[in-house]
Amino acid sequence: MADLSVTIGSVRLPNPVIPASGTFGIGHARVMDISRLGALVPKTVMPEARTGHPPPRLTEAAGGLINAIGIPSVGIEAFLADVLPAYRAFGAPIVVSVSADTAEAFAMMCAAMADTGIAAIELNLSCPNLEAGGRAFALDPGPAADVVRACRAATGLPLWCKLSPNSGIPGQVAEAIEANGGDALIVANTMLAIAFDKEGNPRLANRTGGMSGLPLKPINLRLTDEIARRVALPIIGCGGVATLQDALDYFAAGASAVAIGTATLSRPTTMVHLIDALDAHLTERGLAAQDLVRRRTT
Amino acid sequence: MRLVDIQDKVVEVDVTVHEARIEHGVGRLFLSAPPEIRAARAGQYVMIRSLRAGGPLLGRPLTILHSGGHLELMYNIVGEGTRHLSTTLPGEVVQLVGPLGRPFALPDTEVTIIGDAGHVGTTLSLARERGEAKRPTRVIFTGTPDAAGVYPAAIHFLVGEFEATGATVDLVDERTIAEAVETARPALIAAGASDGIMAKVQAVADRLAIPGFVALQAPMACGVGVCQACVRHFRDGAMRIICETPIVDLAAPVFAEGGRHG
Repeated sequence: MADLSVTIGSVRLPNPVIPASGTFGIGHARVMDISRLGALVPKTVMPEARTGHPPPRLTEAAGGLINAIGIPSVGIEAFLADVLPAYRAFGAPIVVSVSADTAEAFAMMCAAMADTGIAAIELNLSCPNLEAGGRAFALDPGPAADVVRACRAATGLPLWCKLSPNSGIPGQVAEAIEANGGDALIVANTMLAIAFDKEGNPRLANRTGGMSGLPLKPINLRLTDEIARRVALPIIGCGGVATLQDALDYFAAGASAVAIGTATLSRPTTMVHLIDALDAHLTERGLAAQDLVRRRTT
Repeated sequence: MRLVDIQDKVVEVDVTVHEARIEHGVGRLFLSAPPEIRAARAGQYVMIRSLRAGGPLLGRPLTILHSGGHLELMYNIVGEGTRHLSTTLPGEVVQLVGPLGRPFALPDTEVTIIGDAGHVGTTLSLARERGEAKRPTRVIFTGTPDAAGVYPAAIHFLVGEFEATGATVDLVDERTIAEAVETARPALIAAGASDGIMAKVQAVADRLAIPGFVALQAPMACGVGVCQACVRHFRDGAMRIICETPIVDLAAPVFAEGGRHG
C-alpha cells in the first residue's frame, strides 16, 4: 500500500481525496466507510438558520448538474451543538465550510470554531446562489481580502478559501487571499448556468444555478493551472473529478488534493473507489501521493 | 400510529436485470436482490442508475414492489430518466443504492389506500404487503374518465393489480375524491397521489379527524439526505427533505391544488 498522505499547509491529510462541501453529509456513512476519506467536509454553515431556495433546486444538464440549493443551514450555534459532534466519531480530519453576508460574520464563525478540534476552515467565498444577492466575495480581490483578513484576525486555524470560476480575475483574487493570510485554495466552486424545460420555463425555481460535474472540469482545471503559477498556496482541485485520471489531471495542473462533489451524487462510493485506484496507481509505480504534488513555476 | 424508523445500512451495488417489462406506461424491473435489500418493506425504494453510455447522471427512485430472493421494482415513465430506464434490457447491469426511505406502518386494523396512476408503485406495494399479511385493506383508486364515463385501459389494468392483492377496490373519478373519502369515512388512510388529489383528501381528513400517512414525491439526487434537493413545504412553515422519509403524517405537508407531486 502506498503512502497516500499529503500536506495542505500545516494540515496532514491521510489521503488527497476529500468531499466538496455541499455534496457530502453524515448520510454517506450509511453507504460507505467515511473514516477512509482524506477529510470530512459538512455542508457550508451560515451564521443563522435558513431554509435555502424553494424547489426545484437541482437539474441535470449537459452531462452535469445545475443546482440552486441556496445553502440551507441550521446556523452556527446548532451546527456546533448538534451537527459537528456526529462527524467527530469517524476520526478523519474535519474541515468546516462557512459562509456569510459580511466579513464580520465570517470572522464571528471562525472565532466560534476555537477548541472544536477541527483541522481547517473552508471560507466559501464563491457561492453564486446567496439570497442576499450582490456579487460574491470571490469575484473581486478586495472583498475576498477583507474576509480573509477578518478571519485571520479571528482564528489561528488554517483558512482554505474557495474560489469562483465566475471571476474574470481569479489570479488576482488568489493573490489577495495569499497576501492576507489564507492557507490554501479550493479551485473552484460551480459556474453560473441556466436550463429550461420544453415549455421554456427555467428548470430551477431560482432561475439560475451553479453548474457542476464533468462539464466544469476543463474550466476549473485551467484555473488550477493558472493559479498554481501565480501563488505558492497549496491548491485543492475541484470540478468534475470522478476518476483516477481526473485526479491525476488536477495534480498535473498543480493541485495537492482533489475535492469530489457531483460524482458522489451519481455514485455515492466514488471517493473510496478513487482512493483505492490512487493507491493501486501509486503502488504500481513505487510512488507516494506527495510525489504527485508538483507545483508549477513556469 | 407511529412512523417507522429508516434502515441504517444502505448498499451501493451493480446488479444484473433479469427481466424488464412495460405495461400501460408502467415499468417494472426484476433483479437479484442483494441481502441488505431482502427485508425491504412497502414504502421503501431504491435509486437505480443506468450504466449505459448516454444514460442520466443521477439514479431514479424506484418503488420496491417485492423483495426477497429477487427484487421487483416499479416506476412510472414520466421523464427522460425513466424513459431511458424503460429501454433497459435483460442482462443489462444497473447501479442500485438502497434500501431507502421509511416503510409504511402495518397495522392490523383496516387501512384505506388512496392512490392514482402516477404514484401506483408505492400504494400497490402497500396493498401487496397487506394482502400477504392477510390484513383488511380497502383501495380508493382514482382516475379521470372520458366524457362517456369510460376510464382508460391503463386505469383498469392498475385496478386489476390492486384487486389481485385481495383488497376491495373502488374506482373513483378523481374530481369526486373528496365526496368518496367522506362517504367511506376510513379509520386510517395511507395515500400516494398527486397534490391536487391529496389537497382534497387532506381537507376531508382534517375535518373528520381521520389519521393517516402519505408517501411524498420530489425529484431526488442522492437518496441519503445529503444534497438537500428533494425538499417539500410543510404546514408548520418548514421545508424538509423527503428522501429519508418519504412517508409522513397525512396532516403535515402542504399540497398545492392542481399540483403534480404528492
